[in-house]
Amino acid sequence: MGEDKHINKDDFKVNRRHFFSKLSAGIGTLALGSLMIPDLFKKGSGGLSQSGYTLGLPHFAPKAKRIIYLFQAGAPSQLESLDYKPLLTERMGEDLPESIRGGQRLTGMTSNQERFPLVGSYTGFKQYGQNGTWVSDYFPHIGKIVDEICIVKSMHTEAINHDPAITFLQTGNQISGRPSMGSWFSYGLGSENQNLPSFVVLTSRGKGNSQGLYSKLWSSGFLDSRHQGVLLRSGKDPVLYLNDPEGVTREDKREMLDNISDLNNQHYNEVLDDEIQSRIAQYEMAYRMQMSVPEVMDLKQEPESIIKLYGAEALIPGTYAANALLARRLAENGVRFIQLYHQGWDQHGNLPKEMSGQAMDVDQASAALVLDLKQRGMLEDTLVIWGGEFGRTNYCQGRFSPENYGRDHHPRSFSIWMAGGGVKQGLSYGETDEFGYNIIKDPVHINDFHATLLHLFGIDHEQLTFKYQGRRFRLTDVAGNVVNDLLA
Amino acid sequence: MIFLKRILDYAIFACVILLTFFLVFEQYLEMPAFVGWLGRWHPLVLHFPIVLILVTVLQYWRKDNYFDWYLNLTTLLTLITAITGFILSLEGSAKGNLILTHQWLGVSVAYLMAIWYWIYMNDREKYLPPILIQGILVVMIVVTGHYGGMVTHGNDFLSFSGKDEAGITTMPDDPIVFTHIIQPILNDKCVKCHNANKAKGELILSDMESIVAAGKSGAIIDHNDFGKSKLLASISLPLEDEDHMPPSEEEQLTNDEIALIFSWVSHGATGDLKFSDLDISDPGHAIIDKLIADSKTYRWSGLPDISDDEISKLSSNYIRILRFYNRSDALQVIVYPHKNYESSGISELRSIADNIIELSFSGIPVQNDELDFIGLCQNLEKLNLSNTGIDDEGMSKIKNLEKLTELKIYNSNITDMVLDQVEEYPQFSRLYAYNSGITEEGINRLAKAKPGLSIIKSAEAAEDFKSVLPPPTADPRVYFFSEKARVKLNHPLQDIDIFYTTDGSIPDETSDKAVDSLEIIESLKLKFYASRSGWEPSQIDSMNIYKTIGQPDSYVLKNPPNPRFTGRGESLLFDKEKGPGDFSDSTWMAFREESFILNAEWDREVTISSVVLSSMVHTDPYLFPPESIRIKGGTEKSDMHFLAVLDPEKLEKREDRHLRFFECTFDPVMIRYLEIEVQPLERIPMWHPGKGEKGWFFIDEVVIE
Repeated sequence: MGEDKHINKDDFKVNRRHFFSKLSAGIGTLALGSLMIPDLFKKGSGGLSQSGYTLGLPHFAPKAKRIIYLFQAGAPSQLESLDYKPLLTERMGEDLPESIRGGQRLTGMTSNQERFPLVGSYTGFKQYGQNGTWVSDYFPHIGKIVDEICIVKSMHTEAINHDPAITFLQTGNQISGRPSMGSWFSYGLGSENQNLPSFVVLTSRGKGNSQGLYSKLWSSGFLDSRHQGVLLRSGKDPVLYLNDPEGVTREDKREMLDNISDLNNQHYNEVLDDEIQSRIAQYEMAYRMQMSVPEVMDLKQEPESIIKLYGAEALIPGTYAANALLARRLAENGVRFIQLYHQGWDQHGNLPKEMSGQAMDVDQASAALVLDLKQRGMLEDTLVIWGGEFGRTNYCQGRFSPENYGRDHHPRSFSIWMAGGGVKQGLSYGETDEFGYNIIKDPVHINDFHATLLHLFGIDHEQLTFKYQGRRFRLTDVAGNVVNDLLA
Repeated sequence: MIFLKRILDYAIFACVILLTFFLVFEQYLEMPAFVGWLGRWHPLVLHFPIVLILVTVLQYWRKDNYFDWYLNLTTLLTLITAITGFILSLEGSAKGNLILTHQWLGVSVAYLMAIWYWIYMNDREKYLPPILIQGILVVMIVVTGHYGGMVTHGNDFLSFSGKDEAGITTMPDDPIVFTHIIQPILNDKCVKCHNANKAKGELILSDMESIVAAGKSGAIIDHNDFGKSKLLASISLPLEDEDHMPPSEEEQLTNDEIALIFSWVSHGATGDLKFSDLDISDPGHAIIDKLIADSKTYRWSGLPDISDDEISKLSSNYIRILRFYNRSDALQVIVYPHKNYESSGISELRSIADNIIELSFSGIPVQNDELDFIGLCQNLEKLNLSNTGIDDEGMSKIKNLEKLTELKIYNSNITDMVLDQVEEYPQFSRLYAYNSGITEEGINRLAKAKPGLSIIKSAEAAEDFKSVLPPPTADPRVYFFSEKARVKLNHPLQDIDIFYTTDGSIPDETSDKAVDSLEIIESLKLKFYASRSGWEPSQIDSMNIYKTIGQPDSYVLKNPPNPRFTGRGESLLFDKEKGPGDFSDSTWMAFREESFILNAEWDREVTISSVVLSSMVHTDPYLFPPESIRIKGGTEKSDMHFLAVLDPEKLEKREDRHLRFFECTFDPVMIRYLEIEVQPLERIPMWHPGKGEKGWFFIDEVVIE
């Protein structure tokens, strides 16, 4: 007596909240739903109805069906990539005029500097494509595809340090805890292929100065945990512990899973915690992934012409090029949101050398991905995004020298590019002043960016919500406007 | 009762006065907002007179007891309807013919009603006038009602032409810009005032001829300079401007619509401009492109209903059935490659064949079952047969796809034969055919035969992408060995030639080719690269491999290493292990203030000819080559002489992290005692931020051969 854990076996035990939530889910939504959506009983809602959601998504016919987000972690300098500012070279070494800086807060890394010498790009720029778009010599391959892509030079954010900035870009909030973008897409649109997760993350690391990556960036926050990003590692075991131990057959595994889910279902009926259902779903997903993942991750199936396109680095597991090629394979297999993280873009010093190395890692493979999608007719419904979490200052951090300099964090303006997925081709959108410091035309805030992405997927960003802790949350929370000018 | 009747009497009298006043002073009237609001009730109250006049006439003939009341109420409500109607008519910007006709008819009805009332009240026995009035009233109320209907619902509301209201439904793939795009916009936003009936500013925008004809203030299209056309000026003026069109209180043109009108006018404002005539950079191009896409949504509206149950019943682990958007019956079906794939599952999809707009069998071994099924999908627009191994014969089974616009067939065995078939698809526009048997000649021939069709054979820009091989990798990465070592040069690509040299010379195609693993028995410098036809050869990589006699029988460091970098102790100097790039690793030790002095001793005499110190250089964290290296040896501890002296070159500029081997070779000599003294850099050169300070000397191995 007293030793055994007390287990309540009352099947009818339901607490007040569960009672009301079940009741309202039943009667309330039926009644209200039929009023609001007259066709509700005629047909179910698209998207996720099969997975038990009734979000009614997408709201309208989407342009894009999947995203490959080539995230450049650490924030690549816009001034050595996409935003050409010859004035900085002309006025090399002069102080940044106070009128331009306008009291902008600085990071602790440069706030003690006595001078803010302007520094122009070490590398040259060339004009490419029909519109003569300037692209730096670090990115010759991007230059070659410039007619396919849409460059946004007027991105801006609120955060000035890596962690809040990257969290803001990934989750729509500077403080961690909200669901990441990929999770929102998964929640809204579900997976195309039931054998693979709808949100996959691949990481790689360049030789440049890098900042940490953490799984919170692909966490599902308060959304159901089945929408969490799944990190696929390079090498033999793309997903840790996915393979069965020796001696365990597929049938054994099936039986084991069935028994576990029986137990889990029992537990669910007692406590009604939705996360138990998620856990059951994840076990099943892992079981199906055992079959599908090794196949998808096998780059040996790619013909040599494709390896040549992406560059030979694609043969080396764990490189950015290999991940870019994997991303295409995942997209072909119906993964909705594929996020690559390439670390090493935090050039506080030694920028010319580090940045050229970083660019070497990503330039050819990123351009190749766009072309490869295009030749497969996938570019029209696959959105490719390349960019970091903020920009870099137009003045030098640390010791100034035209050949070797650094740039600090700059939230007021930065550049990204996008391709495919219903975005205008060959467009350069937005403008910064000639110092490359402030935006003077068509600013795009992170919230606007998110709203636009959702719009491309046929989702009204104000209507994709999740109620948590008493209020409805959105990816764009209480802000964001769709940037219609970017839409093709 | 009498009292109430009297009130009604006065009310009717007041209404007649009011209506007359309005009509006379229309031009000077400035309605307050509240009165304007009263006008909004017109559509509601107008139903009373229509019914009541007919009923009143009827009751007159039935000699109903309550006829007085009918007449009273009807007259009052008719007047009220006329007044509210008049107020409402002031709201719009201009009264067209239609409204004016309706207005005067309505006013006449009201006055006639009032006259009848007046006659009846004065002399109930009068016979003829009421009958005349009644007759006229009945006819007029019907006509007035009809005109009123036309004002709200449009002229041809009752006509029987069956014209398609939503122009978008019939949007063809290459729409005519005026007919399909501009006219609907004008109809929507402008024609309300600029029609044959209203013609505000004497301008009519309802058809091409009228648009070209001049308005009150001249032509709206300037055929000499289209950019200066009045039409463009008035739609692009700021909203506050008085000449801005549409007037600020009306529904405004959207930015897209303005852009479209600009495009159309700048292309000559003609009736035969087609979408395909627009340049892709033209702002109107993208917008029309989107409209066409949107019209597809309508195109699919006639598909059979599909329930969610049916979709989930037919779905499986590898068959995905997706609606194009919420509650759409247009379906996309994707069949993913799967180990348990069975073609029988495909036949079950027959019940939804008509709904399938997009179908993908990418990666599936497509056989007869699948092809038969594809043949059933009459509404199929996009078909993906890439990576399926399909050939010409298979393709010939799916000739009858009337609506097919896009076919993906890359990585397959088809040949130019398929192009003939593609040419026959009536709506076809795009073929993805890279890595297939389709030839350039075939593509060129088809391009001539069907100009609108595009064939994507490969990514064009890709042709000048570099394809440099990565260098081979050595496995294992040996640095130090005692007796012999084996190294294999590997490469991730197949069919690679790896050329190498061991004497320090630069390898080329005449050098030795690495086939199996190399056996190494003496110190050497291995240089190697990978080559393969069609690729640029890799960079030349090199690695130093040193043979060592290993650890002396005893050895001691005279000065301890700097306490910050002691590594795992002096044993690391002879462990044949190379330190990693991170110098804080325990395989490294470092000296700065004091020299590195190693005294080694052997029990028996040994013959040595070289000493190599394995070090690291990285100028940013002050890791520099040492000031000097002195090697002394001898058979007696007291009698040692210099074997080698090395003063490494001073660095001229910053250097990134790299391994550096300081080699001191000398003629073979027999010794029992050896002393190695390394003095770290005394003064860091002037170009470095730490100028004048001492440099660090890092060491992870001492090689004695």
